[in-house]
Amino acid sequence: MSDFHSDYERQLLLSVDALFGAPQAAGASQVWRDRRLPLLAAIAIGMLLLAAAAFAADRIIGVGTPVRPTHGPERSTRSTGIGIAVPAGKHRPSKASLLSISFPDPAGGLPWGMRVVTTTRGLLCVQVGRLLGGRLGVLGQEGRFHDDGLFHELPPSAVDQSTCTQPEDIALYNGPGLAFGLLGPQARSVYYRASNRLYKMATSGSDGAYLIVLPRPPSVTATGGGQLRARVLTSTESLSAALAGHLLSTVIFDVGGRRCQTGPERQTDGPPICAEPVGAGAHVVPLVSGKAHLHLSLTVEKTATGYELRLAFTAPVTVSNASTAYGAEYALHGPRACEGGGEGMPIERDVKRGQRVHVTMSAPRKPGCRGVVRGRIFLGRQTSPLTGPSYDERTVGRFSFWVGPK
Amino acid sequence: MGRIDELSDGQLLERTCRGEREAFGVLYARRRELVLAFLLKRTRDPEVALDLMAETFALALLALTDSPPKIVGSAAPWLLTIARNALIDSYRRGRVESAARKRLALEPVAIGDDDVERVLQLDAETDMLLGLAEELPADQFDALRARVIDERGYEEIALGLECSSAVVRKRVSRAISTLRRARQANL
Repeated sequence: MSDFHSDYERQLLLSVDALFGAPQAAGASQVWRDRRLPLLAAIAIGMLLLAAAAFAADRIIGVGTPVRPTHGPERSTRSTGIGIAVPAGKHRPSKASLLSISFPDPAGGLPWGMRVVTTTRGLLCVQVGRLLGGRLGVLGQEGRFHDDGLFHELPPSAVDQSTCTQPEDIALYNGPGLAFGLLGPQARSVYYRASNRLYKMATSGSDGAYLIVLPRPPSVTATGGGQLRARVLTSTESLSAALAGHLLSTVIFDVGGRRCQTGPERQTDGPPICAEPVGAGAHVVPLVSGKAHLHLSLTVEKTATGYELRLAFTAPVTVSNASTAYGAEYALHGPRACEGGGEGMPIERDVKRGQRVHVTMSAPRKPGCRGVVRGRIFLGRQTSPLTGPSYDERTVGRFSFWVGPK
Repeated sequence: MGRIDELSDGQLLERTCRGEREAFGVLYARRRELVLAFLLKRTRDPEVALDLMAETFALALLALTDSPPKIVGSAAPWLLTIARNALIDSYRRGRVESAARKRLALEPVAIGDDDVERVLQLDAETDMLLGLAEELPADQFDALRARVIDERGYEEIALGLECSSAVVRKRVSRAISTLRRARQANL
């Protein structure tokens, strides 16, 4: 007697024959499979296809070299900059999870996916790309990878610091036809409009991730280039305003077991408006004792163009992630024409309490200027990675020196 | 044929990639109920669950041509990930996804009353699992389900539950003891 399982199994086995039945030279096929999808398999399937066009869009694509992490003066390490992707340990899974999001490409190409990478300095970095065989990658098109048309895997190590945020924040990224972000652990679903239709989509993962891809205007490139705009919020307090002009129209949150909504478009059949801000994280800057002795030293050397400032201080508190940072800044106080020549420098690295920190800054020399350069070492919270401490600042030490003829 | 039945899921997938059609048949027979139970729990509709299960195995087959997964033991987590993605895609599109079956030119298979009956029976077994969840402490249930239902290794479960494998073994052992005591009390 025939049943569903036996009928379906029979068809599956015929497909195995079609896909893998052709004899292959073992050595050659292994190398070839790493680089390009199996041609024989593609031909075999192609012969069976009824909808050949849909098949061609995402099967006839080769695999190129993976995307390499950015190297340069701002290269991060485990304890500097944005950190590096937390690697999987012996007893700990990797903190770079490919989310269960597979958004169809409006142009019929490979679907879009998303990954959230936790870095060693406590940031959450988002990677968005195409999905192929359970891997996230980018396509060699529109100027990338010499337009080779291949799929290039995007490893967790190749995070882009412009999509990294503090874990407590709500992050919205918006580009032409592309919107993604992290709405926090309390976000449950989002509404968005496309072609005058309203869609609802559940968020993914523990960080409330979402990804929407829509057809782009013809003049816009696939990568979007610098047109990707980021908005980072510390709570839903201003989310509704931030969503104006964004693809999202409403976000549904779960606060203590109760649903609520926020956003520029109220869903009449949805839950009540969120009364309290959602997602406000605790942003704590370590306390610095007023009696802390900083042991600040300064050496100033004349250079061809100005001065080189070599500062050294003993850290009064520990900085162990990218949410807070020490910073150094100075400004010249003198005649009006000479003022404004200040400089600030964030110290983007983990620092242990009691550790000696060395900073080198340069100060330009303005002809005819004289006066006192006053500076300080301070500690504060960073609004975004690598922006320097910008609020909840506490001065932890001061320095000054004279420039120009006395 | 007895020998191929004893192969691990990972070995069956390797053989499938070498063109041994029976290997995929064994995997299908071994894992279809797990995938079906997973989908049934989420759709509560036997026909939709069967439809999605069919799509899941078609997707799995296509995935083998794209990038064969390096599976050492059980393929259950891999298959359930595929099933979950198929389910999400279907919700998103408002219909059961069938792209993989179209790619493979698989014909629709009629679902008879007997098929639905068998799925409902599986549903009852799934409900039994839920009943166990009520009887056992959460940590013991999680460990028992991962070990007995999902057939995961102790080390793998320990990673997921963030404890040592010795603790997992203890929890599974306690869960079985708890169930045994409950059964004796009911006799």
